[in-house]
Amino acid sequence: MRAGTARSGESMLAQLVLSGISQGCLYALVALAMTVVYRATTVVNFGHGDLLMAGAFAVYVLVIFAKVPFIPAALLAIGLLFATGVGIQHWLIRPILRGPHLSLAMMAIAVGYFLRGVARVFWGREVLPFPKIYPDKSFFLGSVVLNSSDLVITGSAIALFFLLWLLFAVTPVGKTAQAVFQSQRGAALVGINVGAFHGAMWGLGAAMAAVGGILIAPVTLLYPDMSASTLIRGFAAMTLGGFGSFPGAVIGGLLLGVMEMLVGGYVGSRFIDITAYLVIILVLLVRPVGLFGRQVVVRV
Amino acid sequence: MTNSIRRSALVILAVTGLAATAQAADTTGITDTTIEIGIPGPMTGPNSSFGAAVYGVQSIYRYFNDQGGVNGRKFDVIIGDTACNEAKGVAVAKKLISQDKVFLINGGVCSGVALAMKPVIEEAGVPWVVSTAANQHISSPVVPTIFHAIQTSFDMGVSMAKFAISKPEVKRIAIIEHTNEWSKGYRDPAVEYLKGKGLEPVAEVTLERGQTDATAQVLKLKDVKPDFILVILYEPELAVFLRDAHKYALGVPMVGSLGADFQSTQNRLGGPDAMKGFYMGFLYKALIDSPRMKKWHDIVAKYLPQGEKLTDYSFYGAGSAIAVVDVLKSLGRDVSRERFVEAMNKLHDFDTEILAGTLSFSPTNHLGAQDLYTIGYDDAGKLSVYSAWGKKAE
Repeated sequence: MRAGTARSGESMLAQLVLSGISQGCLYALVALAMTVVYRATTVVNFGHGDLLMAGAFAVYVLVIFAKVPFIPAALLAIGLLFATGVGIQHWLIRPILRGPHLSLAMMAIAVGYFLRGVARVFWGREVLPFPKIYPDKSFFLGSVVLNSSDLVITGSAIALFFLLWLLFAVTPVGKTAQAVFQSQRGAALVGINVGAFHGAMWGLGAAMAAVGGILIAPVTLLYPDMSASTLIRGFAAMTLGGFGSFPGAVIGGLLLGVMEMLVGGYVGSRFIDITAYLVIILVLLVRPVGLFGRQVVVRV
Repeated sequence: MTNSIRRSALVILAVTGLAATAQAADTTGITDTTIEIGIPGPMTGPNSSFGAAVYGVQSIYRYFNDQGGVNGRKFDVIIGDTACNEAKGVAVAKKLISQDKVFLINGGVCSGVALAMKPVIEEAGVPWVVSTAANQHISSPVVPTIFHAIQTSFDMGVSMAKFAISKPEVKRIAIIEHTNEWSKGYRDPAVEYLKGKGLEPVAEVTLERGQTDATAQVLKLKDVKPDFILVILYEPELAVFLRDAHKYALGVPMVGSLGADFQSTQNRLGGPDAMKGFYMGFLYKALIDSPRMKKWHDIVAKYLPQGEKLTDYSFYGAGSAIAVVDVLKSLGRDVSRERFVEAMNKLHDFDTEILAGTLSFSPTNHLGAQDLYTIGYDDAGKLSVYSAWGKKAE
């Protein structure tokens, strides 16, 4: 009897951790995309959740109305969101770049709400099933269950993390980002086109939002407000991992996903929703730079 | 001096009398040719699928307009979008009352929002026939101008508990719920009823609004091995919970509240697989596409806005509009808010031909509807209406 209970306890723990990792991958994706924009421009893109929604809707429109097959539609949507990100930076962020940070954050929020408003005009009352290209199957690892969505989300997220690591650690993009983050004027003096770089990073962040949207929409289904709760969790993951840290965003997202599950499973399901907020409060109080963030030293 | 006092007294009497007369005949929202009706409900946001109920109510008024209206007046319907949000709901109530100057309000979807709107509507004295929001505290204790023309969460909570224990051998009942007033409206009467039968819930688990994963909740429920689960969740979270319950093979029969539409939930889940073993409160006499409901099915379908899909939710409120029209007809041309309220209080055993049971109000009871059924798949995979576990209502 005791052995049975212990086994059931272990199985519950394993299930919670694995499901937490799958959920955490989504948070990590959001945190990572926000980090890309933050690293390049020092702007926290609070409109990121709505870019995620826009990416998912772009795929939906292309597949359902334009009858484009799913994979080309997903690639087109990612490209479209990249262009949108570049456009946002060029026409909306660049003109106010020298203004206070609050204005930049407000602009990001305003863009997000605008996108959500547009989606509401067309699909305000709809909750749409997202086109799926994989069957809904369950897989058993002992008594632990994983389904195809968990595997697709986790696999895609890991592939994307690896690609981003390559981009920022192996190519010169990482050093350029570091230079621009440290001093935009300094970066410009050594020949970096800061404006174009900012545009590219906004584009990359928006393209990653599209990837996030494509992964999350089969789980949440498609509606204009689909990303509201994911955004705050992405922000919490970013805070936990450390602002501006790529590994931090990934680890923060995964930790938050697992924490939510464990809190729900062992403390009380009513605390799941406040876990992200508690993480933000605790991290800001105890270690404001997060797990992997570094204190910025300004030489005078 | 005495004459002057007498004159003053007469003037005061005349003025008070006039005011009293004016007060006794509040005809705001009534013209020679129209009756203004306000319908608040969520037309946008994550709970916008409940907006189908708003269009259902609107359809009834459009139908009667095409029949020539009521006693020479046609209905002018104004929809207010509450987005299932308390602050927006209050703003909508104020707009309908002060700006649109409606004669009455026939709507109210999302109980939390309706409860937030209640003080505004009550203070204005505008008659409110609640069409959809199920919390009994909207109309109980009695507010003279507020009538509940739909089964309440109290009735539904009791009915859920009754349905669960009508299954033989059911002793261990668990609950999954939101932590909000709406959820409490179902949970409290259900738990009270179970206590009366000597049963205590073996677990109470929460799934908050906006959550997209219910793994922890499902595993916790699985751990306590319940015989039956009462599911008090709105539609988006209900779909998440049923999806994960199916994924983790929870395998426990469940009965859900009125916070969702059966068909729409199934659509969200992409098919009936995860709906098996799940039953949901059902307000109507029969399935909406059954011969018994054909008349109103065809009417609501005809008058829905173009592109709007017909679901069970399209009828969630239509019965209340039929009752409003009937009461207005009974008033003749002399329509005022006071006369409307008086006539509503006299409505007795009124068959809407849609709602299960009949509507009855009195000055001391504004909870007009009580009878409820349950809907779910039978063993052969046919959608059926039940009056108790294994007992079909049709």
